[in-house]
Amino acid sequence: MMNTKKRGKNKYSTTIISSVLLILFFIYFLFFSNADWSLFKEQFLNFEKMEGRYYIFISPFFLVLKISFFSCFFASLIGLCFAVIRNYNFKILDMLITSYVVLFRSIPAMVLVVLVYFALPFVGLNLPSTNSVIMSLSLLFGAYTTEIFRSGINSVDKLQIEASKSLGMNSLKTMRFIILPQAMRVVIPPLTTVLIDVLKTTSIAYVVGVPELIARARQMEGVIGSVTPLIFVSILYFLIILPVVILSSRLEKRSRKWSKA
Amino acid sequence: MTEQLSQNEPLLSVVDLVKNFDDLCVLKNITNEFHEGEVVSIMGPSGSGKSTFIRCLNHIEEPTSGKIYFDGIEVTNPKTDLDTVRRDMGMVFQNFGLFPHLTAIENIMLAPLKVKKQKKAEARNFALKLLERVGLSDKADSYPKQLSGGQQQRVAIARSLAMKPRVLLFDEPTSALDPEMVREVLDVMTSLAQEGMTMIVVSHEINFIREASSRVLVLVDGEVIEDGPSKEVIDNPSHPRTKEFLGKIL
Repeated sequence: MMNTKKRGKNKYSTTIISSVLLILFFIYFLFFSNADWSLFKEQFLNFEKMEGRYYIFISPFFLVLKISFFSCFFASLIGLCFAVIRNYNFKILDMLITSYVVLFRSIPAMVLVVLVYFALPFVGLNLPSTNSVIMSLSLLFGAYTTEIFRSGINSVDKLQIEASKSLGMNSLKTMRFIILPQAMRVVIPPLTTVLIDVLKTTSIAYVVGVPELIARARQMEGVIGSVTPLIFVSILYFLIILPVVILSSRLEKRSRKWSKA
Repeated sequence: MTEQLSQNEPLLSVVDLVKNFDDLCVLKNITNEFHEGEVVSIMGPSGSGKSTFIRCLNHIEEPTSGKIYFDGIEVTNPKTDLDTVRRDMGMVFQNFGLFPHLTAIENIMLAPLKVKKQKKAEARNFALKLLERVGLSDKADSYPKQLSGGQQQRVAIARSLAMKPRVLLFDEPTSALDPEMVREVLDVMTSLAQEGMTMIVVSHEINFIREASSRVLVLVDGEVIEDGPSKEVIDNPSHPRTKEFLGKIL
């Protein structure tokens, strides 16, 4: 019990200290360095120039939200399914999944998006640009999540499986009620990292002409002659990522209830 | 073989059980029978194959050859549905094996709910009764990590009782416990034995073996070198290896 409290307190104070340091750092630069901040503001934080143009980001925002949601969903689903399948040690499936992981971990996101959108029509699969982006990101990040879920499943003690079997639980029930809930504790932190990466990689969609946030920001950048739209778009990305971070820390807290007593 | 003994058919019988790990022969042709209501202890020096033997009984460990019959069903037959067989064979492990993400009562209720498809209220009532019986009514909502070793093992016993098994297998249930916690677990086991539960226990707890178990098998190097009434074997061992072994642990 002591240990948990101490750890919790430690974590809390490091967060505070690091934020304070960061703020002091900015204050130093803003007020005590010789940089010409008026020029900086004009270039990067010139929100006056953006006035009346914010509406342009409304539909890209929801588009990015949609691509993010489905990509995260399918990437997680692929990872979960493949990791569970690998757990049963079917030789051929094992080999197929391993080669999938090796292959898709090494393809650059942009290449895959281009391939899916421009090459798949040759084999008779015509996907709208948004869907081809969702498919690319799901496949790409599914390779990462497969490995994450697999290490989570492997982290569960063998005795847990024996105990579950000895109660007459079949392997599917053992997976569902014993292994996966315990694996989640290990899976959530790296999974969060990957899902955030998915959200940010959605910007690659511009190569197939999807009107997403970064592409729109760059266009506007040319029109108004300021980098401010990129800064503004970063804030929007932050808003999209925030719920993922909050959800993840909630889930982690929940597993801390039983993993550290 | 079982047909001939229809009058007094054993609940569990083992015929020519062999288990090899690679080149190592751990169990050498063990044949034995366990009857309903019997409490059988298995002792022997470490590495003699006791744990392997008891783990073969519910097929957590796959035997290399030989046959195991439980209630007339051949456990070793690949066509046998092991999940169904295991419902009736509870097992208690040396390191408890409680599910850490579930509270004590959830541990106990899980199999009745998911395997036997019991109603929640029914499973909960029975789980509470079992907790009371192992003396842990106040710990129903504690997670395993919040319990002492002895308490965890008592919850584990309650969990295996929740399936109303016909036989309980204990694999060194007190070996991982601090000395002061051994008593509370043995007390629960003794009372189960007195109530007529069929039990097979791998243990070195001489007092428990003498008081609670009816028969003892001494396993040395994968062979049963002695098989007889507990008191007789402990007080008056016939085989020199048994004497040697008892001399070391007494």
